[in-house]
Amino acid sequence: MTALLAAEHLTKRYRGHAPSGTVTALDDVSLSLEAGETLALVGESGSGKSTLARALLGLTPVDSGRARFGDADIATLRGDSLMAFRRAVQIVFQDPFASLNPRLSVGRSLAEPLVIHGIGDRGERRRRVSEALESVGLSAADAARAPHAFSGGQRQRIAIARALILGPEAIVLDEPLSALDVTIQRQILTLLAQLKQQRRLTYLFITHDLGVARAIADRIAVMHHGRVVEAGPTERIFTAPEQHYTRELIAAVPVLGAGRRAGVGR
Amino acid sequence: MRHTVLRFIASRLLQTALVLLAMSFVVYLLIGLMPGDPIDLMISGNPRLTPDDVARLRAVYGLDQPLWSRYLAWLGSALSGDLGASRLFARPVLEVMGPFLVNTCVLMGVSFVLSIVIAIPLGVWAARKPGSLADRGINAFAFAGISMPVFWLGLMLIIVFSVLLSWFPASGTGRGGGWFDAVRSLMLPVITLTIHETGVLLRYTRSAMIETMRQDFIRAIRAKGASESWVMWRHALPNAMLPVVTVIALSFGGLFSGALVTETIFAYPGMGRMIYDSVMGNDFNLALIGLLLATVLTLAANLAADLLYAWLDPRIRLGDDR
Repeated sequence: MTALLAAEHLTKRYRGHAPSGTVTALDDVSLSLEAGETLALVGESGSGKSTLARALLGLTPVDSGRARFGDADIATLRGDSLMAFRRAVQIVFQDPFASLNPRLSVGRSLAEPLVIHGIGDRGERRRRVSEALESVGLSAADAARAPHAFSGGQRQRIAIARALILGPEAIVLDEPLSALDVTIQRQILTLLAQLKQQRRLTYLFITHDLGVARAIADRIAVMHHGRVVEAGPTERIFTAPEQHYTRELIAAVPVLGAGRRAGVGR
Repeated sequence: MRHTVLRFIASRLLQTALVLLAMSFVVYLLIGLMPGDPIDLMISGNPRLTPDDVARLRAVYGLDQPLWSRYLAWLGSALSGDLGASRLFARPVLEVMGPFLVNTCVLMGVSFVLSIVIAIPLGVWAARKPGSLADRGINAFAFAGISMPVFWLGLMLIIVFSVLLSWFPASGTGRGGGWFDAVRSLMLPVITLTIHETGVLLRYTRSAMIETMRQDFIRAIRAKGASESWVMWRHALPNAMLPVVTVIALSFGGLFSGALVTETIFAYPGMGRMIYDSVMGNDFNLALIGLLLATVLTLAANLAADLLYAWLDPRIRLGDDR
């Protein structure tokens, strides 16, 4: 079975001016995302999760290794095959206040991917924008408004709508909840689960919150210092972690499992 | 919305009037406090003046009055449209100022437009790949433009292009010799000012672009498959223009009085020279109007910058005192 998206021995270094010199953000990372699954990528900040996301989207060059889309090396995609990749794989960022161009109305931000890919005429694009907004719980009338008129949770819904508009197969969600209030986090999580089911999406869900990972993921990959230290089915990771670091990470979560159920009444 | 904008402009115009009033007083006070007055200059120019003549002259010019009453008298006639006469030129102030103003507008207008047209595309190009060869070359040019003192750059240009090569005249406006001579005379002062202005603008454009290019919405639009030029021109540049507009607006206000050095080096009869000469020559009326005009332009440029802000950034709402 060919993975939808895969990292093969990816290595990425950032050359800094600091005396410490280069920072290795990705150290021989291999990972595969199978069609239809939700893979959670967990780890503390600075562990290389976002760099991996960018590398998998071909947004940052890597020093060695390959990022694959199906059988193709993402770095070598050009023309039509590159555009097909751009339609198939989308990204949603952490900070919904930074991920939308403040100068464009929501409708224009959403329609732009369609314009870039030459999809539909004006009427068709407007129809698709309305549909995308409604699918994330907003209304078609919101298209005329500017991003700053929306709350953080609504903006994250807009970012998700923008990811959906090209009819993707996979969405890379880079800490999509961490900038939001806890109640809003749950709403967005529910929305993501619904959309996944309706549209048979594949998620690479990047988070530092193991509770969120447990709630949404089929599989979990744990990153530490630029390496994937452990990967496996969600329940196995929580019940029988193989690596010391994974156990530490699980122990560091304040409420989990039975503890969480007990905590609800507090 | 339109209503708010109009109210904003109206209140800013009122502020401008108040600032002008205060400025006129401060400038009048400063000139009045300068040692010596026009009569002292007349005495040194004509030693045969008797003390009686001097007293009569002081009365004619109103210099026997205390400073505040002189200011009020000036203000009264200025508000009724009489800005007085220039002492040095013995003609009405506005008539004297006209040609100087035109010269400065030509010099400044040309270098202002040129520096914007050069700096913004170069800044965008440099920001495309920070640290690349193109970026370093553009940076070196920008730093050279900022660091070279204008008087030194002007002198070097004169040495090379006037003295050694005899391509362009070293001074004057070339008026009266047809437009070709006028253009030739403008070359060196325009080049001097443009290099300096371009350097400043380039730095701001480049850093604002680099800053904007790091934002997530740029990554997002790249991830949609947008081409690099689409990303740069449609998304990054409009968002990066905010700080650049500030610098442009602020430099615009300073253009009219700030080119003193350039105008002096190239013996170019513009506003900077005129203000300097009128202050040194105790020409109250001319200096006052020249300085107040510079004030008006600075305030107008700031108002223009605020209006441009609101247009560039929908998050900024005019009239909100934040």
